Amino acid sequence: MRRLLMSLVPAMALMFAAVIAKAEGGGTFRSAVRTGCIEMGTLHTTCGHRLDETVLQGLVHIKWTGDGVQPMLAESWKTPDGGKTYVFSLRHSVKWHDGTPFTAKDVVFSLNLYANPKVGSPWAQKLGSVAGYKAFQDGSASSLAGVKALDDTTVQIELDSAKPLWVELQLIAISIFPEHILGKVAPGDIKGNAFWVNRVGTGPFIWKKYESDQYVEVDRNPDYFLGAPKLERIIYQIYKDVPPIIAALETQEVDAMSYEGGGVPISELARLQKLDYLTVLPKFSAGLPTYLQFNLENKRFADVRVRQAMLYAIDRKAIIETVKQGAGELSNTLFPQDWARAKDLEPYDYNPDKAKQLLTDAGWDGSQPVDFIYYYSDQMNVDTVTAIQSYLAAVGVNIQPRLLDPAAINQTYADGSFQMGFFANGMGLDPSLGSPVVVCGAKPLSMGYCNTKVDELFNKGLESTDRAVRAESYQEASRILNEELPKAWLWNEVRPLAFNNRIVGLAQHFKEQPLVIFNHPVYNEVEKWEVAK
Amino acid sequence: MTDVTAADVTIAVGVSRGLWAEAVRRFLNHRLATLGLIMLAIIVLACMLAPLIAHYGPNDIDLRGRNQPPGDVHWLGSDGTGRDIFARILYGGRISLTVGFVAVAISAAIGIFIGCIAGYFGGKVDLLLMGVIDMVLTFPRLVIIIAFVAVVGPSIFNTMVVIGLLSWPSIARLTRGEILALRNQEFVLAARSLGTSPSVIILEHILPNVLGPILVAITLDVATVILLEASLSFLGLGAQAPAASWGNMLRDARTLSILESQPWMWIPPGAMIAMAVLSINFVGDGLRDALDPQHIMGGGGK
Amino acid sequence: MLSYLMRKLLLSIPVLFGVTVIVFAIAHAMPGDAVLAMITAEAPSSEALIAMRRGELGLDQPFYIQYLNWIGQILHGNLGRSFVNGRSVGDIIGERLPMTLELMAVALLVAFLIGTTLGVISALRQYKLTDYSLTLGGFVGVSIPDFFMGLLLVYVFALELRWLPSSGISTAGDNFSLLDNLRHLILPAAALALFRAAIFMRYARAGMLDVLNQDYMRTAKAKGLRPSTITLRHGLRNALIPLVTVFGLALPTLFGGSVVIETIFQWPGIGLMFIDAVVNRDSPVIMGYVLLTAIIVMLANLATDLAYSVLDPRVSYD
Repeated sequence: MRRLLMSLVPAMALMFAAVIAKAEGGGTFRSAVRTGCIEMGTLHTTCGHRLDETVLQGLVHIKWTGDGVQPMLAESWKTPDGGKTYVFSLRHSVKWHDGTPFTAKDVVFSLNLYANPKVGSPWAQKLGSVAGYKAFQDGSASSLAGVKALDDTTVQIELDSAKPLWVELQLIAISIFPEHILGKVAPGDIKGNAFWVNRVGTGPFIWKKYESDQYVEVDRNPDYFLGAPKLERIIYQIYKDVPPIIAALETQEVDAMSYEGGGVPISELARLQKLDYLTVLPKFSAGLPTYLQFNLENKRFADVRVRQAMLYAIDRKAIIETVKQGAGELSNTLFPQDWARAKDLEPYDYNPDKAKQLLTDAGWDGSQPVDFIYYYSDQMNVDTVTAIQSYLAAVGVNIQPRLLDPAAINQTYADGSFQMGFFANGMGLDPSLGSPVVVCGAKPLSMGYCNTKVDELFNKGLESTDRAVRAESYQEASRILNEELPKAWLWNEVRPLAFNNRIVGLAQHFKEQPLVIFNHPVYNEVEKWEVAK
Repeated sequence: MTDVTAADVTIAVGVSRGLWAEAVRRFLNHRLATLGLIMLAIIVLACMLAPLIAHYGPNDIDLRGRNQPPGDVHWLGSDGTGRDIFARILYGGRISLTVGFVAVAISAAIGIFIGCIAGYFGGKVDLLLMGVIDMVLTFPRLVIIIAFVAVVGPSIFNTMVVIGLLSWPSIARLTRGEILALRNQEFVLAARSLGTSPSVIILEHILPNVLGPILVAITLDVATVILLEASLSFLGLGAQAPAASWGNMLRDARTLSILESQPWMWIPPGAMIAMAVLSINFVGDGLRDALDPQHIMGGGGK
Repeated sequence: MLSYLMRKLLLSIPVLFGVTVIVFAIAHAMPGDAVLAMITAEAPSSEALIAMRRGELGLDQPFYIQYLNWIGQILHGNLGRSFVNGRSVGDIIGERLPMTLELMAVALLVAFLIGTTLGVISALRQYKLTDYSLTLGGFVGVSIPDFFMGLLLVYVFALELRWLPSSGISTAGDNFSLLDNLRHLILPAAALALFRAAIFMRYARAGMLDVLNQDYMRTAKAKGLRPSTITLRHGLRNALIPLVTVFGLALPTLFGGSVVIETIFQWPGIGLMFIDAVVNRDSPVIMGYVLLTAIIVMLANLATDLAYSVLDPRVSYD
C-alpha cells in the first residue's frame, strides 16, 4: 500500500514539474496545415501549395491581391503573336537550395513532368493547351513539343492556339522542380518520392525537417532572389482535425490556420474575436459556390421543374442568417465573381407553395426517399444539411443524408448510383475555372449536364484580356445556368480566418487578399514578414 | 453414477428454480441494484413514451429559435437548428438504447450458441471454435467497426449489427467455461445416459444453471455498447443527421464555444449516457451478487 | 507450461491468417479505392489515368490474387508499400508505433496505479464514506466516454488554465526534450487512463475484499497484526491477481481508444495513421496496422496467461 503510494509521488511530481511556461523561439512563424498535403507531393495534391510559396517557386505566382501576377523565376516574358507563343526570360544566378544553378532545363523538365501521363498529375490539364500535349498524353510523343529551352535562361512555350490569359490563369499553378534531383526518378515513382518530404527548391525558405503528422520546418534562405526573409523559420504544424487547430490558435501554439481546412468554424468565431492577440477576418470570401448536386442522368432529377422546386423550397436567407451566422452570400448561379453574373437573375425566393406546385406539375413521387450525400462534417455544415432536409421534407422531398468520405463519394459517381448531394467547389480566382462543374462531358462534376451554348461561352470568355468583353460571355452563361439549374445554387461560402498579431505582415496581407485562392501558390511578400518586437 | 434416475435430474432443476427465487430476493435487497433497475426503467419508459412526453418532434427545426437556453418553451433548451433538446434526448435514447440492447442480443445469441457447442462437445469442435473466438478477440473492436462501417455505410442499423457481430467472443468464452465445468456433473451425465438429445440437455439442464454469470456479462455489455455507440457517433460513423442519438448529440461538444457557453447542448446527452451506463452497471453488480453461486450455496454475505 | 505456450503459439498462426483474410476482405469491400480516394473535385482525373493508377497498384486484380500477393510479401517479411506515398509500411509503422506505445503504456500504468491504490483504500474502508464516494466515483468514471473526457481535459487544462499544450507530441521544431514530451503526454494519457482506472479500481476493491474475507486473513487479524502489515504481507498479492486479466482485456480497447484520442490530440501514432489509411483506402497500411495490433493483442493475452500461472500457483496449464 505504502509502496504503491510512494511510487505515485514521483510520477505526480514529474507531472507538475512539467507544467512550466512555454519558451517561444524568436523568429518562428507557426502555421497550421491539414494532413495529407505533403507526402504525395505538389504534383498530386490540391493542398500542397502553401509549401510551394515558401520552398518551391513557379515561373510566376498570383499576387495576394488577386489582380495580377508576380514574376518569380521568370523575370519577364513576352508574346509576339498575341498569346500563342510565350518567351520567358529567367532570372540569372538563381541557385537551388543545394547550390546547383537553376537553368532553363529545370523549367522544361518541370512542365514535362506535369504533363507526363506516367506521372499522373491531376494538374496536367493546366498544360492542356500547350502544343504537343495530346500527343504526349496518348503516348505518341515522349515530351511536350511546345516547350523548348532557347538558352540557359530563356524558355519558349508554344500553345495550340492563342490564349491571351494563359500565364495569369494556367501557368500560375505550375511549380518548378530541380531536374538534377527528380530527373533521376522514374516518372511512375514521382508520387510519394522521398523528394516531397525533403524538398529542394529556390524559394525564400529551405526545407529542414519533416515529421509525419507533426510538422514541416523550413529555415530562411539568405540568398533568396527577392531578398533574404526576416523570419528565421516557418513551422507548418500538421493537423487532421479542425478543433485542435482552433484550440492551438487560442493558446498561441500556432499563429495561423490554412484556409484549405475550411477556415475558422462559424460557431467558434465569437470565441476567437474576444482574444486581443488575434486578428479575425470574419467575412473572408471563399469564392466557393455551394450547391445541391443532382445526377441529371437519373430520371427523377431530369425535369428542370423538380430542381427549381427544391430551390424554392429552401429558405436560404434564413439558413445564412441563422445557422451560417451571416457567413455566406446568397447566389443564384455558378460564378462567385460579381462581374461575371448577370443582374437580372431569377432570385428563387423562398416559396414552399410554388415548390409544391412545381413538384406536382413534374409528377414528383414523394414516397421514394432520395439518397443525399455530403462530405463536410463540421457543426455548421451538419446543421445546414439538417435544415435543408427539413425544408425539403416540408414540400414532399424526402432526402436521407449520409456523411461519406471522398473515396465513397467518388465511387457513387463512378458507378452512377449518385442521386443528390450537398457540395461546394473551390474556383475563386476567375469564372473560367468553373467550367468543370458545368461543361459537356466533364465527368464527374457536370453530372450529365450538357448545353453546348454554355461551352461556347466558356471558350469565348478566354479569348480576350478585357474584362468588359469577357463579362458578356460569362453573364450570358450565368443566365443560362440560373434558368436551367444544373445544380441548385445556394450561396457562396465565406470562410472566416484568424491570425496572430505576433507576425507582422501576416494579417495585413490577408486583409488585402480578396478571396481564398485555391490550388495556387500565392505571392504574399512572405520574405518581408517578421515577428513583432 | 449410471444409476441416477430421472427423478434426481428433476430435483437438480427444481433446486435451481428455487435458487432463482432466492436470487431475485437477494437482488431486490441490493439497494444500488434496485435503484439502478428503477432508473433504467424510467429511462426506457420515457424514451418509449417520447411522443406523449415531448411537445416537439425530434427533427422539428426552428432556425429563428436556435441555441435557446432551457426555459418554458424548450425545457432543456434548443440546439443549433432550433430543435428541442428534450425531445431529442428522448428520441435519441430510443436509438442509443436500441443499439445497446439489440447489439448485445445479437452478440449474446451468437456467443451463447457457440459457447454451448464448444463447451458441450469439446474436443476438435472446441479447438476450432476457440480458434474463431481467439481470432475475433484479437480484433480491436472499435478499429474494425470503423473499417466495417466504411464498407456498409454509416447507419444505425449497420452499427448495431456490426457491434453485435464483433462482441460475442467474451460471452462465448464465458459460456464455454461454465458449461465445461458442468458437463461432467452427475445430473448431466444422467440425462445423457437416458438418451436425452444434446439440445435438450443444453437448453433444459445446463443453460439454466450457468445463466447467472452470463446474464451479468450481458448486462455489463449493454453499458459498454452504449459507450461504443457514443464513440462511433463522435467519429461521425453512428446515427446520421438529422436522427438523434445520445452519441451524436454529445458530438456538439466538439465545438469549444458550445462546450463553454451552451452546456445545455451536451450536459443532457452526457448525463443520459452516464445515467444509463451507471444504472446498467448497478443492475449488473446486483445481479452478480445475487447470482454468485458462492453466495447461494454458502449463504455467506459481505 | 512450455508445451502450453508452444500450443498457443502454433494455434495463433491460423488465427492470424483468419484475421488477415477477413480484414483484407473488409478493406477490399470498402466503397471506392485508393485511386478514387485521391481524386478531388478541383482536380478530376481522366478514366484512363484512373485505370493506369489501378494497374500500378495492382487494384485491377481479382480479390484473391491481391490477397495472395499481399500474404506472399508478408511471408518474406515485407509489409508492402503505402498506396498513398509509396513508403514502406514497415517504416511508417516503425516510426509511429513507439508514440502509440508510449501513450498506451503511460495511460495503462497511471490507470493501474491510481485504480489499484483507490481500490485497495476503498476495500479497507468498506462501508465507510471513503468507500462509498470512491465506488460512486468509479461508476461515474466508467460512464464517461474517452473522447468526452479528452474534450473536457483540453478545455480545462489547455484553454482555461493554460497549463498544458492542447495537442501534439512535443513542441514542433524544438529539440526533443523529455519534459516537453511529458507535458504533451499528460492530457491524452489522462483521457485514456481515467476510464480504465475506474475499472482497475472495481477489480482491486473486489479482489481485496475477497482476500480480506479469507480465513487466513481473519486469523492474522485475530493474532493482532496491524491491518497495514496484514494487507501488505498477505492480501495485496492475492488481491491483485485478477487485475492481470484486466490488463489483458484493456489492451484491445486501448488500441480502439487511442484511435479516438490520437485524433483529438493530434498524437502522431498508429491510431491517427489508421484513420487516415481508412479514408485513403490505403489497404497495405490498414493491413499492417491490423496485423500488428493482432499480434500485440495475442502476445498480451499469452503474457496474461503466463503471468497468471506465475502469480497464482493454483492455476496450471497443461
